[in-house]
Amino acid sequence: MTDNQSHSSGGAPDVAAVLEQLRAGVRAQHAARRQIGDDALRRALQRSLDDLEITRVVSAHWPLTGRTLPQKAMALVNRVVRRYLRWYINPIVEQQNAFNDAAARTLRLLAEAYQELARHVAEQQEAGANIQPHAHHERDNDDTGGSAAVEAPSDVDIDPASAPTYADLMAQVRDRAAVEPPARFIELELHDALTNAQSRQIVTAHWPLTGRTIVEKAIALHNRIVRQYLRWLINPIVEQQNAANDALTTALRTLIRVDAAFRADVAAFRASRQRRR
Amino acid sequence: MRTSARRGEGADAPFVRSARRFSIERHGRLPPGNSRSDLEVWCTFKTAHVTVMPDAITIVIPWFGPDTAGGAETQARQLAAAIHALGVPVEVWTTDGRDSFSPPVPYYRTGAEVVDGVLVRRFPLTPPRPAPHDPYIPAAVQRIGLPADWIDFPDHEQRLLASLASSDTLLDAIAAERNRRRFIFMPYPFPTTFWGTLLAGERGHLLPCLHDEPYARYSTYRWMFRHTRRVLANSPAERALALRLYDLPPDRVVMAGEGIDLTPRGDGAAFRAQHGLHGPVLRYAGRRDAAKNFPLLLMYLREYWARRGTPLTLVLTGRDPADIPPPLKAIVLDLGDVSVQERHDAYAAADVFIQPSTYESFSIVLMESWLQGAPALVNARCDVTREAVEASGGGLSFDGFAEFAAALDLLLENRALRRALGARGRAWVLEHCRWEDVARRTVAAVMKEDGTG
Repeated sequence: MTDNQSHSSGGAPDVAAVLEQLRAGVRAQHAARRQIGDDALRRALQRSLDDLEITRVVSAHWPLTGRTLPQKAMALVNRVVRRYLRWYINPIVEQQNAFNDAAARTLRLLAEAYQELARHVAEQQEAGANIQPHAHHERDNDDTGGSAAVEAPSDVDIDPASAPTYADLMAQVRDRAAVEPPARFIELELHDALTNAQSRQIVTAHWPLTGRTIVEKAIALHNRIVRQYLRWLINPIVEQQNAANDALTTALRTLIRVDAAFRADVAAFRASRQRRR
Repeated sequence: MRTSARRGEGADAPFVRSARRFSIERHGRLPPGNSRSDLEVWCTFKTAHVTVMPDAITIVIPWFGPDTAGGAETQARQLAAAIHALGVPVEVWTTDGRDSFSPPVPYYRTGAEVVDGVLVRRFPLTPPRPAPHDPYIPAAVQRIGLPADWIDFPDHEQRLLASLASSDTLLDAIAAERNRRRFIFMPYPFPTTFWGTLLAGERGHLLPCLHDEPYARYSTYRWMFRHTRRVLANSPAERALALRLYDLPPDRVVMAGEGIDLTPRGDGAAFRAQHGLHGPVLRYAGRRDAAKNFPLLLMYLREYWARRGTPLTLVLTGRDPADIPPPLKAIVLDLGDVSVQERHDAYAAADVFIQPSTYESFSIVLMESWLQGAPALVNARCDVTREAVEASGGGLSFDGFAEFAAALDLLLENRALRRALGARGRAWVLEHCRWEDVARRTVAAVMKEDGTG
């Protein structure tokens, strides 16, 4: 809008045009600030996801070395003990890593979902309106249909026998589907990822120790005794880790529900705009 | 309708006392390891076994009763009544739990009662093993010995069995009666079915309600299907799945089918008026969980609503809670647990019934919606429902959102087409879902003597 356009033909200022000009300026400033804020948030999110990727794998095999002779001797003893106990410790660590992997994947997908949702919101804002969350919760019983699926007046019944066959109708469905814009439902991937994480959240230190041969059975018996002795040390660690795993999956589940609620908000807004067209 | 008192020691107390006398006189001692309540159940059962007719068909299912929800449970109840109506001796053996939606605790009274004219014997529930579900072998199985393959079954498959509700007393009863009855075990995943088929041997039949799901590929269940005398399928697609998954000889899997109650008449206009519904009404009935693709339906419907702006209403019925995002409540009417008449009124009010599930062996709700003249939109990835729609011409199928939206457009824009498809579906149900026919096929399959029977 130019200065000339904000004056009426008589030379007096056009108040409506001026106000609109001011509003447009404020909107542009807000959008620019939001863009800066969004970029900073996106960078922070990406950094935290990178950190997660680096730290999610737990290892029971860090280097054990020493500088002095006593330190080297101690490191050797520790390596022997660690090697001796790997039948016990490694499976626990592997279970935790499997959970960490599943939880990290869910978080990455959630981050992707938020970015996708942000794009949807931006598209709607660009289309010329601000979203009012929870503004469309009342039951929508407006009989005026939307752009499609508006019922044509067809009170004349069709003889079921002469109605189009399933194959004919499905051919029509496929023709129409071919021009339907694609849709991605990231929640389905989120659901699968969360299910995967939930199935791995309980780490156990008590898997069966058995053997088929006499030697294997003897080793299994020995290991069961050692495990029984060491439970004072290992079990509390595993229980604490399980509590943390449980809290993490609960948080993920809640975040996914929050995401679903926001998507429904955006859908309600899109539907109301579609009806106004 | 409840047919006998729950939790009272009323009418059948003399029966239990005489049963105890009979049991102690006959056996001289009580069965080892039985509690007082177990004893009464066992005595009741013992009295029954001297009066039961030879070769009574005995349906074994974890949950059964007037307040029990679930597809297999509904099927068991109606099948038992239909077999009884044919004049064939039939009993139902089950636990005292309510259903899979409820905690695994006693709900019905243990002992005998009559439901729909059928004798039902309830045994005490054996709750699932607590996590991590250490493998568990019931005493009845320990007595006859584990199958040689047991040690080869993966640990997680053994733990799955231990994680589900069962009844050790019921399994004891099967072991005791294995030569006097013909058993039908249903549905396939439960310990009462897995261990029951093992205990029943050549007199065990499986009515699996099989779905194409990961569990169906477990080696435990493959073993069970391959060691069962005969498998009864609810639909041609289920039969094909069983043959494909387990490499069974074709004559071992019989298409007995499934029926529904064909008498209800829904009043769609009254339902719409009662709930103030205008515009397109869509209908879903059944469990509201991911296994039934309920979240997928909500997502697809949300996107359809956003794209079209069509003012529609999805009417839900069912007892389990649904997690519906608040903004979607504008297009979802969740009625929860409703009466049978209301359920059918809601079908009759529907412009389209949507069945998104891929885990079906028959789909009672699809048949019920057709009975009320609602055209169906089913998931094309479910052979069972897609084949039913193809065979009846009573609806459409979708594979992905684009087809879902296109099919809904096609149906919602043409009332005459909807009526024609609904009429086709209704005609197909009336022809194929008569319980009397299903019961005859079931009895024939179970009673048939052959090289293996």
